[in-house]
Amino acid sequence: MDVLAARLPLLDAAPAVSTDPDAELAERFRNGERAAFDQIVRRHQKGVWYLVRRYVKRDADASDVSQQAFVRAFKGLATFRGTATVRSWIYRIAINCALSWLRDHRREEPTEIAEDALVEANAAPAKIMGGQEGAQLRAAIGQLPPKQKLVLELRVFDDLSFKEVAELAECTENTAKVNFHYAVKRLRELLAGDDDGGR
Amino acid sequence: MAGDKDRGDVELLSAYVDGIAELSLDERKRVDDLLARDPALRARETDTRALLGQLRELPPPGSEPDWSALERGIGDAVRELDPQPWWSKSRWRFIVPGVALAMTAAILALVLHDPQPDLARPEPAPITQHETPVVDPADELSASTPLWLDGTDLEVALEAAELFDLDWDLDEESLPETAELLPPTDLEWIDELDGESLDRAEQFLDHPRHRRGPS
Repeated sequence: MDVLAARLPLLDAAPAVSTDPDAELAERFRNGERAAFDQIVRRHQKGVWYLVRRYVKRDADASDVSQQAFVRAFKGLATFRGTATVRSWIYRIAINCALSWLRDHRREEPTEIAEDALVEANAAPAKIMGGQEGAQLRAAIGQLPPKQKLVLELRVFDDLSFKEVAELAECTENTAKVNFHYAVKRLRELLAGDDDGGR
Repeated sequence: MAGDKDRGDVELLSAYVDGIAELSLDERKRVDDLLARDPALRARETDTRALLGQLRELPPPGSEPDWSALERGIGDAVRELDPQPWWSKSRWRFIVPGVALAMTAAILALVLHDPQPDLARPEPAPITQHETPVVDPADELSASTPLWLDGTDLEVALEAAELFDLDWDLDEESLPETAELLPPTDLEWIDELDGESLDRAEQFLDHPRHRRGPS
């Protein structure tokens, strides 16, 4: 009962994604204001770059793919209907561009081990958890089923709402929540050394 | 049945921990009830919170690029697709106004400075004063002359027609089939007259002095 009491102030909280903060920018762009797109780029280039960087293993490639994603977004924004948020729409484009890039460059991609080495070399010391612990976590994430991995990363690393995660993972919001739960559960099992196959 | 329901509620536990505001009021209440009943689940809630915290502390992959360079790169790539009209693009920006200005100047020069405007206009046909044949005052032939000028139906004096007929001394076979009262070559000058000349000619011929001859 005290658990419920502790949560009561949050019951009145507004839904996380009630309006799209980028909708006005998209509308202004559709009305011919080119600078509105520059603002969209400024707002989302970091998120897009980090999202893409989880797929491609070189920084320069991530920059190229990010640029490609924004070019596609520029071409399509005039016909963007607003059924999803602008952010999740751009992220969807970025994921598609990254997957397409991976298909085209499959043989050139470094191994996962190289990626981990790179991450450790570049990590900011103040924020780092133990290097080994971080590597274990990443390795565990890498073992998740693709859908769970996608949902977990979008939620935890990209700070997307479950609604946006659902739009990107092409499932219902409830399915996204359930997938998130099983991803966390599986991760816990993997980190505990209980590798018996997930859900 | 209750087990299935509980399982569904447990599946919302991570979403409950990570974003309670994104659950409906009913979902929140169900998870709260479950947590209140099950101490093991409360322990799992704590573990989940700790794990999500660890995940969020993971450093991002790669090293940060130069964000302003990336933004410039995107801006340059997008500018090439910019649907601005061709004439406003940089390479045409100076050529198009220059050509337009030159063409306007040329047209204005042609319109405002016409050096010899009269040369372009055709000279009006000179009014030729045809000699009116001297006729016998008694002769009524000259009265029918306007017939040839304006083409309106006029009553021609029978005497005149007879006179024409009588004057032809050529035989029937030597005349062309299209022969008329007068040879057409004699009338070609009429076609060259303009309206003003015809009016003047008519006035001239209608004047009683010329029509009737000196009395």
